[in-house]
Amino acid sequence: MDQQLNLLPSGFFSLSTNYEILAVNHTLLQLLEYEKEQLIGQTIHTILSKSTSKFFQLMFYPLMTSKQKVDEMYLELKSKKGHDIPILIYATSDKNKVITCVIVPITKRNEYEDQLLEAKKVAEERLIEVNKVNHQLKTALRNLEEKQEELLKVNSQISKYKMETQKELQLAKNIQETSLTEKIDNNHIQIESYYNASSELSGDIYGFYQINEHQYGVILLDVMGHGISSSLITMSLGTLFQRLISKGVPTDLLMKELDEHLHGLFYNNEEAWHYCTAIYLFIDTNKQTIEYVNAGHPPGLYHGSNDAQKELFASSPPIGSFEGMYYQTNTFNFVKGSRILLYTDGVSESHRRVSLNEMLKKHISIPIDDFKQHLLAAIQTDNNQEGPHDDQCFIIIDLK
Amino acid sequence: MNINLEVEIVEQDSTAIVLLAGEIDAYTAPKLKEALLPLAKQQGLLIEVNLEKVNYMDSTGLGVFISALKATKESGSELKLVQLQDRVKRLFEITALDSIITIDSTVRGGK
Repeated sequence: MDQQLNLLPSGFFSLSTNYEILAVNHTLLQLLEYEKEQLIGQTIHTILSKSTSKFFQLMFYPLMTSKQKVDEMYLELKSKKGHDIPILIYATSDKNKVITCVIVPITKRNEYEDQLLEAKKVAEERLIEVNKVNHQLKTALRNLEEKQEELLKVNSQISKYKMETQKELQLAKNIQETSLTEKIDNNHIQIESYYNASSELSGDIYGFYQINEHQYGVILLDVMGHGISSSLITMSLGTLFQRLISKGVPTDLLMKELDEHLHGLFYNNEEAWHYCTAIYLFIDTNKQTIEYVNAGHPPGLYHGSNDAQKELFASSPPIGSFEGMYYQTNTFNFVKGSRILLYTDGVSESHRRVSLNEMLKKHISIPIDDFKQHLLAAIQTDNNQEGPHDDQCFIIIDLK
Repeated sequence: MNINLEVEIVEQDSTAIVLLAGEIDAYTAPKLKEALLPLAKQQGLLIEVNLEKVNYMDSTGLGVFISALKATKESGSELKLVQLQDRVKRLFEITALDSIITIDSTVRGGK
């Protein structure tokens, strides 16, 4: 055999008309692990697997008989040691009926095909997963869009509710402020006030009334906390003290009535319980006397015309705190030209009491309106720095 | 003012020591009330509230102590406030509550 044919990278052999092996190259011998002498003269079935033998008879023989040619037929050879080797066979027969065959082992190809099939299977599984995740994402997106729509709807409702509440609160603020008394200015007395709620509604309330030609009642109260609950209590107390002061009820009795009213409001309702600090001044411009009761309220400041100051300290705890309390009345004489400052702790917190004393002393000679502006400017400075934490209210009384 | 209030209770025999630290205002007062009122409703208990580490208190905080004092009057217990900072003690003085509530005269320097 030609040397080149012997070393072909493909297997080569030839068969007689009886399908006996006539020649075989080295490559095929190596593949089948036979020696040349062991195959020459042997029938082709020696090197065919059992299943391929039948197929060979059924397919190969007829094709060679009819067409003298076989292209790319898949067969399995059997090695000497019994291993099946998949191959593709190409065969032709010449004029002498000798069949020339070339085989190409396809073990690697099968492996590649298996890998490709496996890869295809994995890709298909991944695709299914991707489609599944994609579906889940679409569902989630749809849910999210629905939730977003709901949120927008709720947000719109909240905005509407907030707007309506704000409107109601503003109206309530107007009503609360309407209940405050107007300033008094006559030949005997001048009273100015300032009122600022930390939120829409305040827990502070005041009132000043001319009882008769020479007598005046001035009251300032601060209900615990601030906001809606405190403001409701101020309105309840406001109605009562307006009636009592206008009647000229004695100071200690007035405070007692307010105390009992508060206890009555929260009878059997400990959760809603509130207390209230209060200071009440009964001023007689004819006798030039001031009677006062301070129930737990920051001390009122009295500045006489001779620069003497007096602090109207609390002598009893806040109203509504303990039942059966005695509210002591204190009395002192005032001189004309004196000034009194009453305030809630929202004012004294932003201005230490010493500071208010000093301000009162420093500005004693300026008109009441100007003094009010000085106080407001000082309070405003503090508010700008920290913002008001509590309701702020003060009353200035000039005794002429 | 929305700073936390720390409340620690140490009970021994018939005494309960309540250690407070922080600020007592509208936000933290409910926490104090929740801790203090059940003690105040117990019979024959001495409740000593240590306010050394309380540097701010508003009217809501005072309200809790008034409620607690009222409860002790009914249960036969005793409420005592100790080691108040100047600023907090002044609040009890201004409101005349120092004449009703037992306050330890020892005052530590505060803000």
